[in-house]
Amino acid sequence: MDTRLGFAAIIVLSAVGIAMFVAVDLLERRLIPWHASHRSELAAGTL
Amino acid sequence: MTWRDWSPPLLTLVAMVVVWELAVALLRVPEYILPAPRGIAAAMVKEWRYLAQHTWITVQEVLLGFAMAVAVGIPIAMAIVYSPLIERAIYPLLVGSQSVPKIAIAPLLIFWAGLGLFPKVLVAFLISFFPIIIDTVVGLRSVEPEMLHLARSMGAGAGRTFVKIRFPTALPNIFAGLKVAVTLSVVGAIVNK
Repeated sequence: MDTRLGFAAIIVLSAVGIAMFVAVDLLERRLIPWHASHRSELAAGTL
Repeated sequence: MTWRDWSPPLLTLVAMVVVWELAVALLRVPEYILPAPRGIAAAMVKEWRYLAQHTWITVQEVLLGFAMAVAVGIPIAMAIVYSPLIERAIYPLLVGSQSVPKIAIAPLLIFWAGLGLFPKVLVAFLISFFPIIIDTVVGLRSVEPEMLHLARSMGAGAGRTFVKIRFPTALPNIFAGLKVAVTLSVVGAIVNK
């Protein structure tokens, strides 16, 4: 069994997972910019 | 997303890779137990065509399974919120169904649905629709009653109240569910390999 290729596949797939997560996160920022989870720290500090 | 956001996790990752490389070299770990990062990178470069081809198939499976989970999960969540009878009929079953180990039924799904794309899409769907339903239900329920009273006293119908008040209120929770679900659907699509 080729462990090196196995690990290579795992790394590529984690990258896919991260990309998907970032895609949903960006969509969220576009659709609900008013929500608390995306207010910047700077803005929260001035409140 | 600026350099300020990216640099801490990136540097941590680099440090971990360095430690890994050194540990493998110093402890003389055999390749078949834990290959060194350099070897993995070499394999990645050498087999990139093979990896890209299969990654593309997995991406398709993940996106299909995730899309199905959204298309099925959100209407079910709405039905649960709007109908107490449906809630009592299916909510407990839904929670119970999550204790079924999907990994264990993956071979069965291959048996039922063949070897193609479909069984993997199905596992991705089965794993990811649960967080979407739960978070959407919580989101739709978290509307303040005052807002609903306001909508009613202004003469808004059920449909309008949903579009203008319930759904926007639920969006942050729905997105939380979607975030959990995308990563899970990647796991789901891979489980079947």
